[in-house]
Amino acid sequence: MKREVSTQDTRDFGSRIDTIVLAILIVAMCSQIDPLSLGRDTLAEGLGYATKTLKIALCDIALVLATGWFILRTTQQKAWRKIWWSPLPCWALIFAMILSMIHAPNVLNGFAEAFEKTGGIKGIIKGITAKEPKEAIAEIIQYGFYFVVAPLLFVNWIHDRRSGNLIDRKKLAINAFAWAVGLNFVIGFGQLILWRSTAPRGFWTSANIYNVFLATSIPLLLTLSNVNKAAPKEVNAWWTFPIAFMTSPWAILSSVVGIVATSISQRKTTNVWSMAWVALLFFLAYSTPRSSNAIIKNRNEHLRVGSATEVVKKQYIEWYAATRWSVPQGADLGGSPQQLHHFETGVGPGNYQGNIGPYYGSLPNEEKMPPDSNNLYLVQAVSIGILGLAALIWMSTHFAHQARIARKLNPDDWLAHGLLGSLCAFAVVVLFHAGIVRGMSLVLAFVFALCIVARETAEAKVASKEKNFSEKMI
Amino acid sequence: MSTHIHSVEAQHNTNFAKWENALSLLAVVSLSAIAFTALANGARPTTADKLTFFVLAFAGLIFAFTPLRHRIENNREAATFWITSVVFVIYSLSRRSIEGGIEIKLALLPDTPQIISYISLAVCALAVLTSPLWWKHRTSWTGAVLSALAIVTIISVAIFMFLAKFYTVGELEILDPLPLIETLRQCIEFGALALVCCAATALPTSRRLMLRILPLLLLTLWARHTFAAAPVEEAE
Repeated sequence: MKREVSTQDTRDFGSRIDTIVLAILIVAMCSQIDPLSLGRDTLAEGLGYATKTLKIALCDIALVLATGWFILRTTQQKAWRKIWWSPLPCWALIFAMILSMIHAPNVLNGFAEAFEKTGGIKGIIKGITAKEPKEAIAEIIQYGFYFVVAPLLFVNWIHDRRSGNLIDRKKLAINAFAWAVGLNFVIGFGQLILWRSTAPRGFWTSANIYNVFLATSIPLLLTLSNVNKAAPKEVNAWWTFPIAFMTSPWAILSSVVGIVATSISQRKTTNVWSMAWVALLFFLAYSTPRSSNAIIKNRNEHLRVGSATEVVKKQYIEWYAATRWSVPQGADLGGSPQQLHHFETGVGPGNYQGNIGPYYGSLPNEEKMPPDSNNLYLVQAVSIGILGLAALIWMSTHFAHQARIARKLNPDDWLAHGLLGSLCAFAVVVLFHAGIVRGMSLVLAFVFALCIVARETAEAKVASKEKNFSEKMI
Repeated sequence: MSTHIHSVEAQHNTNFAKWENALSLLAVVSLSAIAFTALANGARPTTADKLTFFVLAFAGLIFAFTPLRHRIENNREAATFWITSVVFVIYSLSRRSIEGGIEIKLALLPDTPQIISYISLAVCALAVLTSPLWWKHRTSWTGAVLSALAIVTIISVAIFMFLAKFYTVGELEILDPLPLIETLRQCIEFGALALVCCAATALPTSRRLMLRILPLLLLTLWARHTFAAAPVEEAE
């Protein structure tokens, strides 16, 4: 539906709260700070064993509170018919995950075993909170918030039509995001100086996810020139600066892929000069004394084996181990003759870690896996099956298609080019670092929302040009 | 002269429409036949399979026999997604229920001949037969399914080739080729099945028919394996 985009800003109190909540959500999503956790930390209590606790990130809290505010505000404005709703592919992903959960024998067995001990309502609660069902339900709720609710919030706040007039918060949203990325990099740089051997991670729990965050953000922010017209174009090259300080070679590769994709989309060579600048920074980074250089040490960790007995790094062995999900269990692992995992629906959402161990078979399973170093495509395929992986790809390509349409309608718009570059970078980096985690998922949802915003802006511009043309003809 | 050209063109279009109708009907009948094979005793579904059939049947009845059906029928992507999901679940049972097939020996597993089941051959043949239909009426959902299968295939082959440089390859060796072979086999089977589902939803009439048939098939499967099942050993 084509709607005219204007930039009128009605400064009522509710609208200001919307603006503040949007800014807070964008800043909070660029982190993995965990102020709360559910469950007992048995290791810290000295009980001698570890129990998995459910960590609740700041971004998750911000998302839930923002959702509550959005519901209240939209109800107060009676504007439910005016809002943009998440498209079919987002709902399809949730459906595929629910289908995976009910079709996974280990999830159902986990529920049944816990239910049988008590029975009744208490039994149902025990069943739902048993290990496998709990992981599945938690993952479905998380994905529901990340890929159905979050894009809805972002689109409706950035292009807010609930009051009848359009409130355009695109500039605020992009600038808030840029500031959050910049702050992350500044903190990461400070960590690099303070921690001589540990990889910098900004506000994230692992250096790998911090790298995924930067790799996804940089191609988008590199095309920032049109938003802040006062800033000279050369400033944008500074957004490539963080690439030289990334500790994951795969994130570096992904950033380059994203920048090249943006350049091809824009048909400009400006970004090629940015890459030359990065190459110079690389040279400078490698020229510093090796013994104190955390970047080089951590970068090398990704490329060399961890011990004398290891031949190939564990994360790559696990890629092949994961393919065993396609083998009917009875035929291979000596279990029951019935099939206990399914190619089309997987082992159940959130149950990858609990099932991957036996898949190793005779493959070496010695070293500990570095955090956030799985292959996202295989993790999703094993967890939610080929249907779930297809739904995830469907959702991503749907939003990428919106950005392509925006680019076609308005080739001068920087946003569409940056978004395509960002999505390309994300598609590559998740081969090596499973990036759908707390915080980063919201960044992805934000990128999806911007694809819709870009398309709406482009359609409005075309409509405005046609209107001007027809008025001139009259 | 132009009238003659128009009438020839109209005749051509009518013939093509007849072919499309025939192919879509073939796809619908074939998918129903595949579902019927899941009724066989050899299927041995788990409790999760039966629960899934029941839940999907319930959802299918809502989609097919309530006012919601107009939205699904008119939205080809939604209908194709729903039908593909259900058919995939049913097929995973069907492929276990029919024994026998063509034996082939692969270089990677010379001592263990691989069996290409008749049902998977039938699915691949159907995908080829209905190709004019699904090629003309492609959907983004089917494209996503094929992309997912292609990504899994490429990663599996690439990582196998990489690990084969460091570990010995063999059924009893460190690097067992069976997961790679099973992955490739299932990617081809489910890819062909997704294309047949795309063909089955290409025309509004066949789409409507599939949406109504599927819940009844699912109910039949659930009832058959719940009330008239052969004794099944539950997995530990």
